[in-house]
Amino acid sequence: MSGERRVMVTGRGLVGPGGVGVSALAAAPALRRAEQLFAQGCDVGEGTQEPGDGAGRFAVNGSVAAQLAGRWVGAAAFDADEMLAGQGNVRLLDRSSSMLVHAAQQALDESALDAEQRRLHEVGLVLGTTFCSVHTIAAFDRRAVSAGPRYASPLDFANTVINAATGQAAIWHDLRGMNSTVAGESASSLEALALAWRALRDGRAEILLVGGVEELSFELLLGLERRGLLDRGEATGSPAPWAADGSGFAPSEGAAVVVLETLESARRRGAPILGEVLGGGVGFDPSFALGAAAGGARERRQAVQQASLRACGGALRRAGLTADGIDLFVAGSNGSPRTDAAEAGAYRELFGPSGPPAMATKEHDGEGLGWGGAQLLLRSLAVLGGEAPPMPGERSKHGFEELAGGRLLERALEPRDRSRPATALLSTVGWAGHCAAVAVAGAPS
Amino acid sequence: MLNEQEVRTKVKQLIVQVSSLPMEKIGDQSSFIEDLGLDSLALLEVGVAIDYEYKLDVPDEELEQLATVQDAVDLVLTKMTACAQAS
Amino acid sequence: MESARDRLLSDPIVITGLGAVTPIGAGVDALWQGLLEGRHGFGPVRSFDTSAYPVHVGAEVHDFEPERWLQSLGPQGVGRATQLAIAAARMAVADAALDLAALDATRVGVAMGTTSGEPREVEQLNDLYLDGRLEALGDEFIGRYPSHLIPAFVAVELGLQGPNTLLPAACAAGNYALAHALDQLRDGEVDLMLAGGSDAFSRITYTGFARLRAIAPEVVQPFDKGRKGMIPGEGAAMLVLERASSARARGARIWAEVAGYGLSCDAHHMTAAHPEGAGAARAMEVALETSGIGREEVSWISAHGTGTPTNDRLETAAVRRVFGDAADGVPISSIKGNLGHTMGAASAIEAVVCALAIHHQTVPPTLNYREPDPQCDLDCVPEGPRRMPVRVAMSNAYAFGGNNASVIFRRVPGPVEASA
Repeated sequence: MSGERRVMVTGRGLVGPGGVGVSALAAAPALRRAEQLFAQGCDVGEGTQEPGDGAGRFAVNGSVAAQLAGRWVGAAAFDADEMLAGQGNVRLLDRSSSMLVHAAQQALDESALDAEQRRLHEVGLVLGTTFCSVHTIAAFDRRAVSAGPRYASPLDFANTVINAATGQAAIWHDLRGMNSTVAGESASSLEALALAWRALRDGRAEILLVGGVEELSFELLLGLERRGLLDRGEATGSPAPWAADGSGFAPSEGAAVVVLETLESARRRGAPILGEVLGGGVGFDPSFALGAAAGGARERRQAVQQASLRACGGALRRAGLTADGIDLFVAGSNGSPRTDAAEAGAYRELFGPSGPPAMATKEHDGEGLGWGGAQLLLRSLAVLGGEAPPMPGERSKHGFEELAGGRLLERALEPRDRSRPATALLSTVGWAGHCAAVAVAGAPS
Repeated sequence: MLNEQEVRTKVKQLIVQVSSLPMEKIGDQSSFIEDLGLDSLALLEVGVAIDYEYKLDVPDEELEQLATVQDAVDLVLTKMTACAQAS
Repeated sequence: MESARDRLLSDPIVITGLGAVTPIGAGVDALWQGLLEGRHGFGPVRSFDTSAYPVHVGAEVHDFEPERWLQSLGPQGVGRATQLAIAAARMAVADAALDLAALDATRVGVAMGTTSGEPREVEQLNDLYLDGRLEALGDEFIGRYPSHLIPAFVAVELGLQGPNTLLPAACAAGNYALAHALDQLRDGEVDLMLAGGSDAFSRITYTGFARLRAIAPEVVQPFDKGRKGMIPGEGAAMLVLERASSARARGARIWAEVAGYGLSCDAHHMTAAHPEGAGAARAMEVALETSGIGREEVSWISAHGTGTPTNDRLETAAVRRVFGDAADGVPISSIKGNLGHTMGAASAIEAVVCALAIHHQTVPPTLNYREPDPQCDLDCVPEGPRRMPVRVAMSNAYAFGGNNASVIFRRVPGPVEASA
């Protein structure tokens, strides 16, 4: 086993609130009010899969819907039937699977991995998702309960497992290598990247599709709302990381995928090298999940801050870097006060008073949960490649200065050392205490 | 009484929903497996969908016997006629 | 000069603690004795009404007392799969004679697998919805449902701060969790891992398998010619994994070594395995290759062996593909004749059984096997427990999504044998 294999990014794919394809990253902030979804009746009604259920998916119950209406969400403008028409049996795919299949197709295309190449290299898939499709699971059960178990849909049952999208995408694209799914809310796809990086480094795989997916549904929105996790600042604009008046996040659906492969393989194939994953780390602390019994809010936040630091430290160690080798900190903060504070505290402790600029794109993209980390990676690669970052709002800028003593990136990145590709440290802190970090570098010039 | 042509059209629509095949690919005599390429899971889904549409309450063993589009149409007509006579 | 990494790679990863809650009882002793004595856990489903179903039998865990195992969390605060996992984890820690307080908690991780997480929470949401009472849904849905909370709550109960991972690889999830734990230990980022799987009996799972007509009416008969299907079950198993050097330093009992694993994907069909068992064979081959173990060294196979007509035939074909004519000399047992299919817990429970088989030098039988099937013509240990040399055990698991995972366990010679 060689410890020397380098892991390059050679393809990208995105289905997100801003649109389809990585070019959609340049789109304006994509968050909107959930009521707009209700007004549209939403393009993903329960229709054929749940006859008799009446109106669209977000309008099942008037008064409950009204509670959700003011919340900010990012929902992908994506019609699976249209996007994948003629390519196969789209009925086999639920919304999660179809978003993933489409994002994976873009990444495979950019990396020039046609069917023969995929077979030859035994390409695998490592996916982050938290809920896969809780809507598919719930709709399957509702039909069986209301119509009788004999009318349960066999095709939908296949999609009730949490690895359904991973399996469906493997079938669709004929991916016969390792096929793994990681669930860990906002940490999911950063964990997936860390796991895939290790598999490539250790020679367990040569080429892997890696990313995440999450689907917005009535069931998920309602659950998050009742848990008090959604932003409640209806009067103050969309959720801003570290904002003093932050009250929660705006969930966002989509899929983001990259092709990761060893440098040797990328060179041999002549694949485009778009960046490098240098290593990942994870950390966890049970204080958030335990609640008040773990101590006061401050103690709990500090404990999770240490878990975030362990994740960042692990990523740096694997990357062979120290904190001063990082040009950009890419935060997972999303407007939720306690996780944002833990992450800001970790930044302060890791970098000290003269840390690198930070970027927190969930202000624009929402909290993608399972695909949030992969979305951070796509954003990072663009900025490391010299593109301007999405503009941070005033509330985020002030909040970050206050909590982390740092500044947010507002123009194209200026690396400290131009003799090497610029580097970024991607981080996230989940509401149950799952932390993950991944170190990446831009493409060699 | 049910019109055979209407039943045939409905059965074909259900097959389109399950298989994503274009309607014109589905012939009156098409075989589910050889002609339409359905696997056992999709075939079961077609059976469940037809049963659900017409509330036939067909035993699974009978659903499994369906080999062609015409078989499915015949099943619906036979069951519905039997049902109408019984009531 | 030996690098730190080489040193890590030359330090075998061993199992020092076992815990399990299964349909034949709580605890590893109940499991092992039950397997040896031919007990099974099938009975009329109690957790919901099956009168509208064509089948009525399940493999539930009865008489489970969550309050016995939960100390920090109330039983109302967590779902059933989590309760089962916490019980199994506490058993494993006790079995390993671990003093967790003496360890660096940031270097003790949890890796778990599941098929469905806490599906009963979705069922409850639906019951409220269909009853027109969705207003009554509270914060418990997202407080209990997300599957990554299972390992998180295990860590809460045990006070663990190490990497905490949930790998939902459906019915192969336990093996995925073991593989992940193995890699983390080899990587040096942790000193000790709790790894395993958990799933709760659920209406959703039962409905699905009933609709696929995959459920046997009375009992599971793996590899038997008259086998009629699987029976859904529930349970959890957890294993304590650590480096051999640390196990020896603390004088721990070593059940077995986790030698390696192989993962593959059929990329063929969501619910049906590849017609020639190609993916299953590939997982076994990769597991052997990466463990540095020759096929002739495999003493015994713990089968996925669900008892469905297709699985057992294809698993047989896959074993033949890997072992050739030598397959006749490799006994293979499925414990699903006792436990049914405990979903994401299944391969974790089977890992516990592999460790026990190696320790006791005895393999459990395949229960309910009466009539040979020419398509399942392996030696599936029908007669009863077999005392035999078990040096290497291979455990297979296959799942929806075409996820295949084989894990290999190896006997660790005791000090006396090592010096002989």
